[in-house]
Formats: sequence, C-alpha cells, structure tokens
Amino acid sequence: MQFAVRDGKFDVVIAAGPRVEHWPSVGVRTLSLLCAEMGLSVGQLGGEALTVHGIIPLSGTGGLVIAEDIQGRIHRIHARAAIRITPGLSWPDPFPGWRSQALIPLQTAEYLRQKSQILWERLTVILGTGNRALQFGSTLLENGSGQVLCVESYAQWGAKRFSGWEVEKRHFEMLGGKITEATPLEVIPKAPLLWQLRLQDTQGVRVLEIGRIVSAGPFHNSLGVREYPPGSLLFEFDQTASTLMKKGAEGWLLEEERGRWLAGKIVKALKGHLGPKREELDTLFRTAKRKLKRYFRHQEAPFTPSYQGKWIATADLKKIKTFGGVPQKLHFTQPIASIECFEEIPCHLCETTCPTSAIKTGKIPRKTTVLTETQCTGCGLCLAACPSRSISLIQEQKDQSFSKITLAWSGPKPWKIGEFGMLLNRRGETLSSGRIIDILNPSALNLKKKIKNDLQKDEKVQLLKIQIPSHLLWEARAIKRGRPSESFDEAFVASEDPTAVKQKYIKITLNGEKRTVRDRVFISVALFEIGQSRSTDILLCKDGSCGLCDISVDGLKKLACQTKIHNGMNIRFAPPTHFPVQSTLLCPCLRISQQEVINRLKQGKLRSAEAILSVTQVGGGKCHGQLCMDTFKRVLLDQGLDVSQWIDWRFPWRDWVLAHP
Amino acid sequence: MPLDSDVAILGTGVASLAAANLLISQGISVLLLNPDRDFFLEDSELPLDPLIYGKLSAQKILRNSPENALKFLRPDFPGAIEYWSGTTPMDGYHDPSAPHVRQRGRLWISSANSSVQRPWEALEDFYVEASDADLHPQLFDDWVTIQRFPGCSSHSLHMKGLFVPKLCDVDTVRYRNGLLEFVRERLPEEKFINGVTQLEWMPEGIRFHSDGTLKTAKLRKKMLAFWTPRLTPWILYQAKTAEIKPKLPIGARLWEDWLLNSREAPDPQTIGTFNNMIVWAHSEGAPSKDSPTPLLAILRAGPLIQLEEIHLPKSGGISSDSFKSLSDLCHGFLKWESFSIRSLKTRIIFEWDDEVKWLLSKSEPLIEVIPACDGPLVDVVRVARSACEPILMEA
Ligand code: SF4
Ligand code: SF4
Ligand code: FES
Repeated sequence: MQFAVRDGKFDVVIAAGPRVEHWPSVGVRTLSLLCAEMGLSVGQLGGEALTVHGIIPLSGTGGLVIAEDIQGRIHRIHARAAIRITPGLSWPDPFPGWRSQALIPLQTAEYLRQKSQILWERLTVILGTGNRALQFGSTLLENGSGQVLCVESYAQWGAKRFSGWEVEKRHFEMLGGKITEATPLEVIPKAPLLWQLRLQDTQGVRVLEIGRIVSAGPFHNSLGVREYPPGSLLFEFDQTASTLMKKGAEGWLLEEERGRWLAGKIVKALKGHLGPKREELDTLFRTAKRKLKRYFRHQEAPFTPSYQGKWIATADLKKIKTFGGVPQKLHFTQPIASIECFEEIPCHLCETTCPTSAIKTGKIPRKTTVLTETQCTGCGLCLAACPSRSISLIQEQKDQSFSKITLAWSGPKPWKIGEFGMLLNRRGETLSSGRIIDILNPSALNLKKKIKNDLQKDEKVQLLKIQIPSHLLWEARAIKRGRPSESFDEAFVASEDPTAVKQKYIKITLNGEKRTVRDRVFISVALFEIGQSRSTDILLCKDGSCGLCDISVDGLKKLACQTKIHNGMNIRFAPPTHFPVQSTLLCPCLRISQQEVINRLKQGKLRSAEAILSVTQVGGGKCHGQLCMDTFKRVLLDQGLDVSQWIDWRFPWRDWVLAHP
Repeated sequence: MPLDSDVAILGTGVASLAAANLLISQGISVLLLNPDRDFFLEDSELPLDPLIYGKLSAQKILRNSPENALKFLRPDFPGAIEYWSGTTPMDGYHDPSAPHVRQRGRLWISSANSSVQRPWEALEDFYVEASDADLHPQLFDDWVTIQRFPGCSSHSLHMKGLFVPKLCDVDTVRYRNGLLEFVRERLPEEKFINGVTQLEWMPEGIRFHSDGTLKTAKLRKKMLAFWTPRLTPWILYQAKTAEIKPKLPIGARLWEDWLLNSREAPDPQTIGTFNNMIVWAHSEGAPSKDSPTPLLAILRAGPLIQLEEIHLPKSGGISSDSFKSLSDLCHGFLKWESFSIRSLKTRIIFEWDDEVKWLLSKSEPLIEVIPACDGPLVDVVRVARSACEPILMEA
C-alpha cells in the first residue's frame, strides 16, 4: 500500500519549514552537532529528499513530525523535542497597495536579482534599513541599478543598529545609495513596472515614481527562537544565515549562536545525567546566551565620522588614523592593509582569511582591531573577504603628488588597467578621478583550500590598484565609472564580459495574447520580466510551498514558480488571479482586513492568538499563512497581546498533494 | 466577598458558557471558572452528529433535524441564528455572520468490501423504520446515487445508498463566540476567570489560584463541572483525592478533521457517509457555490482509546489507516487522481454508555460532574440546559 506510514523516533528532530533557503544552514549544523555530541539522537529532516509537512504537538512535550520522502512514502517521526526552521518573511505594516505586485519581500527580490534579467534601473525603494536591506541595496547599485532608496518607517530606528550595521551603511552610501526616514502611505499603479509611491516624512508628503518596492523589515529585536506551548520542547528557529558567512555576517553569527544556545537548552531538558559533560554544556550555554544578549545590546550608532563638506572633520580623521587597524608607519614604504572597521561586533572574516595572521579583531565587544603591520604582506586577501569593503591597501607617498590605494570591487563589468574612474568618499560623494594601474588577483596565491573555495563561490571580486592624488588617500574609499565618454573602451570591455551570454527568446501565449519571453526560465520569472506578474506572484518560494502562483499551462494546473517556460506554451491565469490591489488586507487569501481582526479582538475581549484564529481564520487560506502570519502577530502585539512566543502549529504547513498510487 | 455566588461553573467549552448564560439570564449569580487560558482551546464540539457508530434509528434522525437544532440552539442564544434550507435563496433580512443551522441530506453509501460499513441489511431495516416515521428516506441502487455524494466526479460506479433528506449541521465556532461575548458582557470581569489552577473545596465554598493569587468564593448552591476531554486530568485527580469512584466513559474516540482542496465546488446539499468518514462541502454560514477555494471536509473516526491514554504521546496523530482511508475515499471512490490536504485537526471525544451526573464531593458544597459535554453541539447545549434545570426550578 502506497500510503503506509513508517514510524520513526528521534530525541531531537530539526525540521525544515516552508521556504527554507538552504539546508542545513549553520544553525542547524551547530545545533545537531552539539546535541549529537551530548548523546542525543538527532534527525535533520529537510533538503531535496525529504519534505516535512508539519509537526503535530503532543500533549506534554514533543511532537509528531510528518514527512514525505522522494518516493512519496510517509514518515511519522516521534520527537521528544522538535524544532521548525523558518526563514521568516518581512512585511511592512499594511498600507493601501501593499499587497500589489509592486511590493516584494526581500527574499523574492534577492532571488529575482540572481535568476532574472529584470532591470532595476528605475528607482528601487527598500523598506527597511537593516543590514540585509542595506546589503541588497549595495548589490543593486554595484550591478548597475540607477537609484536605491532605503526607507526606515519605524520611528525607533535608532534602536535597530546591529552588528555590522555601520560598515554596511557606509558601503551602501559609498555606492550612492540614500537612506531616509518616512512612512509609506500608498502605492498606485501607473504603467507596467511603474508605480507611484507616496511617502510621508517630516517635510510632508513625497511622491516618487518607482520600479519596485522591496520589503525588508521591520527589524525584529528578538532572540529568534520561540517555544510554544511554553515548556513543550517545540521550537521555532529563525533561519538568518545565508550560504556564505560573507553574505550577511550578522545573520550567520546570530544563527550559529542561537544553535548553541538551543542545543544547551534541549540537552539540559532531555538528559538527566550528563556527568562530566555537564560543565562543558553549562559553559557553552552561558557563553551563547551572553553573546546573543551582546548582539542585541549593540544598539547605539557606532563611530561614524562627521564631515565638513566632502571632507572628514579633522578630529575624526585623526581618530581614524590612530585606530588600531590602521597602519602607522610601514604604509609609507609599501602597500599595507588599513582595516577601518569600527564595529563593536566584528565578523572576523578578515582575521580568519589573512594567511599571515596580521589581523586580530578581538573579542566581542571589542574596542579596536590590531594590525601587526610587519606581518602584512599586502596580499589583499582581507579586502576580498570583507563583506562591507572596510579594508583597503594604502601606500602613502608623502612627498609626491600621487599615492596608491587598492580597493575591492565587484560588479557586472570588470575594470581594465588604464581606465579612469571617479573616486568616492566614505559617503559616496564624488571627489576626483583616479586611474587603475594594476589589478591584483588574490586567488592566484597559494591559499588554504577553504579560503580558496569561499573566494571562488563569491561573486567576482576585483582588487583595483589605483593611482590617486595624495591628499585624497584618507578620503577616497570607493570607485565608480564616470559617464561613458570618459571611459576607456566601452565596447571592448563589454565584449570581454563573460556574463553577457547570448539569451534566447521564444514566443508564448499568455491569456490569448502572443508574448516574447526569455527561454528556459521559470514562468513566474518570465512574468516578472515582462511586467505581467500578478499580485499573488510575490513569494516565488523555491519549494512551491505557498501555492499562490497557480497557473494553467496548456490546460493543466501548474505552479508558475516551479514550471519552466518553453516555446509555444499556452499560459492562462487561473482564477483567482489577483489580490485586490488597493486594499490593506492583512490576509488576502481570505480577504480579512487588519481592522476586522482588531474589531473581533476588541468585541470578544479575546486574549490569545488561538482565540482570534478560531474566530477569524487568519492564515487558513491558500498560502497557509505565509503572507500574513508575521503581520498578524505584530498586529496582536500592538494590541497588547503577548504572542511573541506563540507558534502556529496548524497542520500541514503547506498544501500536501497525494497522488494516485 | 466579591466572588461569592449561587453557582460556580467549571468548564472549558460551550457547555459551561451555555449554562452560565442560562443561569445569569434567570438572575442566578454565577462564577465562571476555566482551567484553560480561554474558551478556544476546547475542540471537542462537533457541528453535526456523525451517525457512524451504533444503530441508526428514526429517533436519532429526529434529534438531528434542523427543527430540533433550532429548538435547542435558539432560545438562549443572545442573537440571531440563521437557517439555511438548502434550496431556495434566503429572503428577508439575514445576518451572514450569524451562526447558521444548515439543512442537508445525509447519504450512506454501502460498499461490499468494507468492514466498517454498515451492512446493507441494516440500512434496509432503517429505511423501513424511517419511512414509517415520515422521514422520506430514499433507497438507491444505481450510479445516480453516487452523484449526490459531495466531491464525486461523474463516473458510473455501481453502489447502493440510502438517503435521508433532512438533517442538520451548525456553526460551532460562531455559536461559541456569540455566547462568549454575551457572557463576558453580562458577568462582572472578576467572576469570569481563565487559567484557574489548584482548585480545591473548603467549607461552604471553593478556593483556587489564578493570575498567581489565591482566591476564595462561597457558594450558596453548588458547583457544576462540565466534563470535556480537556477537563479530564482535573476530574480524575479530584475523584482520587476525594476517594470517589468516577463514572467513566467507555472510552475516548479520536476524530480526524481533514480539509481537502476540491477542484470543483462540492454539492453543499448532501453530507455523505463512506466507511468511517463523513464528507461534506465545507462552509461557514450559508454555503456558496462560487467560493474561490472550494474545500471538502472529512470527519474520520479514529480508534477508541482508553481514558488513561488521552495524554500519552501516541494518541497525538494520524496513522497509516488515516491515509489509507483518505486514499480509499478520494482515489478509490471519488475517483480523484490526486488530492491535496489543506488542513488536519485531531479531536478527542468521549463515548458514553449512560450519561448520568455524579457527585465529586462527599460533603457541601456539592460538586456535580456533568458528563457528555462533548460531541455534536446541539447535544452539548441540551446537556448544559438539563444540568441547569434543577437549579432553575429551585429558584
Ligand atoms: S593584506 Fe594580506 S597579509 Fe595584509 S592583512 Fe590583509 S590578508 Fe593579511
Ligand atoms: S572582514 Fe574584518 S573589517 Fe570587514 S567587516 Fe568583518 S571584521 Fe570588519
Ligand atoms: S494571506 Fe494566505 S492565509 Fe492569510
């Protein structure tokens, strides 16, 4: 019988929730490793071979994890402790138009940037100013987007600075990104791929013509692990790490620490006698707890130099020059790394990368970085490693009019020796021009395998050695291309660009109309590219878990995000194809507004999430709450309900198709 | 003392709310106690009587008629209760968000190869009885029968069936919510207490903890404890301490509440019975044919477990049999190629031999345990009312 259920048993099950971005991520690895070391049996359920459909809480502690393997067999696994890993979604507070296709969550935006040729040339507005928001903004700018504006819409944004924030911000601004404080009022469609966004700031209402809004907030100042019901050993664990530490050091560090902390908690609960290991565990738990706390306390703005015009104020320049990571002597004779990273919580990537151990970033919170000048060979590896471009190699030629600086750079169009570029200060303002005199290639060095791997996985980084006016050596920290006419040989550079692969275009029929789209991309991506996506097509979950992008392909029902396009395809939108664009619906699947939830809550004096769910059914729609549960929780919190620990365990957590044997 | 009352009501579900509502409206002072955090965790009330086990009788059908449902649900409910009769659109003013009583027919399918199925002879016997009682049953012996089964895609499968046109189902959540809002309004806030722990009795009254403080209340009459599955640990514990032998149910049955995505809107006028599952078009309020996401609800009877097992891990979930049954229904009978599961909820509902009240205390104050406060909502409300009747008569 096909639907035989296999029973299994583990002490600890770590289960991949819908939309996990990669499996297993660093927190999952840390957690399972530590639990296993302490003698618990651990099951990691997720990835390509196993789809977890849900966890059914048991009375008391633990739960039943129901999963399906690649052959369609069903597994029922009893877990004494179960952890659901979820990537979380970031949605702003509702405003008219927020459910239109103009607004996509950060995860979708990142996916589209990689997978599609959507041009981000119109103004992109990012709602949120956290590290990941800024980093995404920087990536857009590095890849040739016109303008990016990060909007902080939460009044207390001063309290949201987080480990690595200052470096991210600096990087973003250096590339020409802008940050502002405002509240979104409304999005109105104007034309395909063109929207009008109205923002309220202290000056009044601003109207912007935009191409897309990326939602990357609000920032959660929370531990990122919840247990519900309390004491049940059923946890939800936020996935914040990316595939590489470099692509978001703070998320990585947090997740890893969270994994340690949770492992400590679970082992303590499940293992009565730990014997000599007890002490080890206690230390681990305490350290993790302290570190996590430390990360969250990092809320004041770190040192940011003040400016007089385009120039750093004298006192602050002196501070930079005397910083422990900045060379004091040897840079007068040779290129030396200048590590200008003022974070109390460093990511350590430069330290672990340096082959000669010239860098010590210190413990958290650290006061300064120590660079041992005499050990620095000027290889430039740390430049390539640093996610926020806080390091440069400087060689100050005091008595000459020109000095040399080496900067890390990445983007679609590589530089050539001899080209001129515009030098920018730490805020992205143009200073003067500089000339590329050499391009270093760090991967040619004799390196440890791990570092080499990471370098290769990374987007192509160029280390540009630039000749710059000596008086700018301490001011210029970035370079960008000037107007095309000033450039070296545009056509030649373009022809050398390996990413400019010839694309094939094909014809399809969309709702009866002929369209030309790029070949071999997912339908959802193609729809985005031709400006025909629906307001339901906003998650593009890689696992098809939200099920919102239903589409009829040659008469068969398919998910647009899971189906590749081919020539002659006949595509029709399956009803219902849109959420009402101008609405402020909290749960568009079930057409429930925020006000409705608040009304029910107030009328019935409801005090728990279960109560409100049973009355309103929020999250019971097609997407299983993937669009709405986050905002729902926030609405309840605003109404004074304590739901910060609450987890929605409704089963299954995505539609589960069982085909005929 | 502000908490002193005529009657204390202990419960987690609709029965206690209905009782409170009834007593308050007759001027009896009530203290409402709930060990749960609120009234939404109890999920042992059903919108309908599954009528899967036991002998079918005309009397049972009559008890599940819409008229009977309205008779019990309407009088004490503080608001409108709408009636959906299935065929004609409702005219006049209607409150679409009020709890609805829906009239739907019931169809029992008899397939030869099932052990759970009632034998055809039993259905035939019942047909005779139902005809005599003017219930207008119909026997089918052709594929047209199958067409009435909700979710059935047209095909020619030869099966026998019995159809009874007038039974009902009701909106449980809406009903509970209506009661809850009303009781909350009528009862002083301090006498509506959730999260009650360490409840004990003392001379003339009770004491308990809530919000971390010890509270006491004198009771002039008695305490009613409405025994739902969630209250079981408390009842058993109290019985043990008071050295009283509890009158136990036969067992607790696990019910699985499945919602499946349906390609077409299933026929809302019939509730089908197939093996140990009843199947209907899911709806709240009046069913509408043009719901963008039509859902098929399935209530499947799981195993009967012992009382002690309720809180053991293995009772928590779905088994091989669950999936096999679903596959038998969807692939085998409805002939769907595939089906997708939208949601599953498991419920525990007691099964009783005789539903007699018993006392949980040997001395004053009297603590009366009311059994059978779970199951079909109409029965729950009926039980709550009959528990209150002696008090009302006295008053
Ligand atoms: S340039 Fe090379 S040697 Fe110098 S600090 Fe950086 S990685 Fe170390
Ligand atoms: S790599 Fe070093 S300089 Fe760069 S952000 Fe991390 S700690 Fe700071
Ligand atoms: S938005 Fe899909 S369930 Fe709420």
